[in-house]
Amino acid sequence: MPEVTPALKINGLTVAYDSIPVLWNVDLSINPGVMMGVVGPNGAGKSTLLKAVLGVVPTLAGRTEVLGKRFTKNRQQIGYVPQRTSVDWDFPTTVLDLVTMGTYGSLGWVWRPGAKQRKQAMAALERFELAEFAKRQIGELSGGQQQRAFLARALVQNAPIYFLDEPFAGVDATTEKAIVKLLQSLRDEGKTIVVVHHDLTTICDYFDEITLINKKIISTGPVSCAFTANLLEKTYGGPIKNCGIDCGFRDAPVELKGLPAESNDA
Amino acid sequence: MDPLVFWTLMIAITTAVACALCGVYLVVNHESMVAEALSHAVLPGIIVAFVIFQDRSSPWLIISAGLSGLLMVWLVQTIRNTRLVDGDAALGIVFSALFSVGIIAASQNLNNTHFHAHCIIDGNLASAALQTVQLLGVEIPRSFLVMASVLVALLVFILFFYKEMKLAMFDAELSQSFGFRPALLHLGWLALVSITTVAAFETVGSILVVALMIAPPAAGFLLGSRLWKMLVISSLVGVFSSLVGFQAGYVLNISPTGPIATVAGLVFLVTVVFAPRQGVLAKARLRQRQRSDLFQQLLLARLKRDTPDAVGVRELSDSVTWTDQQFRRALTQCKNKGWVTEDGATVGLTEQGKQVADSPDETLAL
Repeated sequence: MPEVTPALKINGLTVAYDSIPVLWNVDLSINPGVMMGVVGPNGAGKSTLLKAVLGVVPTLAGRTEVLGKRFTKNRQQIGYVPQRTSVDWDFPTTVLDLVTMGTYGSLGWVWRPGAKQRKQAMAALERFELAEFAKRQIGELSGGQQQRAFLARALVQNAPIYFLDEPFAGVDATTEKAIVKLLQSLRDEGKTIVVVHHDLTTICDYFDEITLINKKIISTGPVSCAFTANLLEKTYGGPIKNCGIDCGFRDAPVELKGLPAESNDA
Repeated sequence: MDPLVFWTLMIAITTAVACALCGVYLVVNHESMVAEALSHAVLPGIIVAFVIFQDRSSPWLIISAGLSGLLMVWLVQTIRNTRLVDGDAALGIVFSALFSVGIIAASQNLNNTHFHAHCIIDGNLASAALQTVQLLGVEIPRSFLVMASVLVALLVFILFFYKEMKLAMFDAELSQSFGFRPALLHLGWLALVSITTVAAFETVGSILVVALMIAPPAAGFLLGSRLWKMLVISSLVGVFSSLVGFQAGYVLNISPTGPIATVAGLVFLVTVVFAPRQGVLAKARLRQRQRSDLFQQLLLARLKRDTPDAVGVRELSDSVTWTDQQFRRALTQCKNKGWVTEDGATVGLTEQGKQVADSPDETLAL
């Protein structure tokens, strides 16, 4: 069987802020069509991992390939949804404008978005049931609507890979479910979804595969083998009790793609 | 119109628009204090260039001052990165230090020159049009040419990089991941802002530079829901302030810079009060309407509990904790809308009132 080109292949990625390493010698490979959760304690470098791949933070070492090519030569392949709180929602712009920003990357320097881009943006807004808010000021949206608008902005890129940084932070349960459903439908279309996630109790429901990280990769692979009590303990540096995790591994894939629940720091 | 008056006005208007454009980006980026800081930090650059070239109209003054502004930006960033002091404090330390250096240098070297404290603060718009150059056979004030070139540079930058600037300011991370260079754009823009500051500084002084950079965009922020609208509105406010302030200065027979700054401030004040959506009045009106809706709905709800019998006005008024006036107003409004009927000392719900009372969530967004 021919080898599948990984959606994302990270080799020896190391990032430090000043002289304090945040990510240490990270190797990670994500297959296409997978919904992957990235989980770890605060300061474990989850967001930094996404940002380092996107070239938003400088790296000290390592190489990243997106669908077999360097990211700098393949920027349009990843749609990025930053943390909602990372931007100023009082910024003078409308919801439609915000979503149209997703097309800026493909437009390149100087060219302005036109009718085609606005049409794409409207289509994305409709998919997220935000069409009626198109002309609204972004500050008038509720937290959940803002998050959906952010997702719509990434969606107009029509990228094969999506990076989401804590998309469920500060949204209500209904919105969370709606977003998950949408992400899963994107996954079913063959997209690769990488989500920085905090809530351990929902991992089994939401994700196919998981990466446990704490500066180094602790484990990565299908939820059934990479998400065990031992590995969690190792990630969080102590036993995780009473958090209601009960996967039962009902949806464990039969074939584990030859990925044992290995530890990377040996 | 007297050509001198005409050109002075033209200088004021180009300066106002250039400052407004700069200011929009500063205000949106929460960097308003940078305008104040730059207007002071450019001084050492001006003095150094003046000492070297001994010519007040040398273009090196503007370039050197621009570099001095960028030096400030770099120093502030460096101090900020140490994380030992807050961003605001870093700005305060750096610009006042640079300004002091400029003042000391000026008092050591330039006691007998054109550099006087009042020039730095007030500028000399009134005489800015006196020094002219020949261009295509027309006498044009040098100050106007300088300001017009700066304005054109700003407009070209905005025209080319409007989209990139917008994204860089709103979401630098996404901008970076798209391969745009948000940090470089920001630096380039601040370089233009420093140059604008210096050019404007010469004609209108440091106070007016700050006033024209912040007041019109602050008004524009309240009036324009999108960045380009904000740019247009702020420029118009700048033009308006120049025209009215200039006229006021003429009538009062004083230097026009003070009146222009005052008018810009007044326009902002009027906007804060009267802006259609964000203004103080509009917000107060909205709050009052919502509160009045709440009282009416609550009144209907109380009445509905006691139907079918009509309720005594006294009894109804005792069941709520409002003032008499609030109660009376709510009752009158409900009557006017045909929701309740008042018959002597008793009140009852109408059919329409019952319907409204059944679905309060539509009005109150419950």
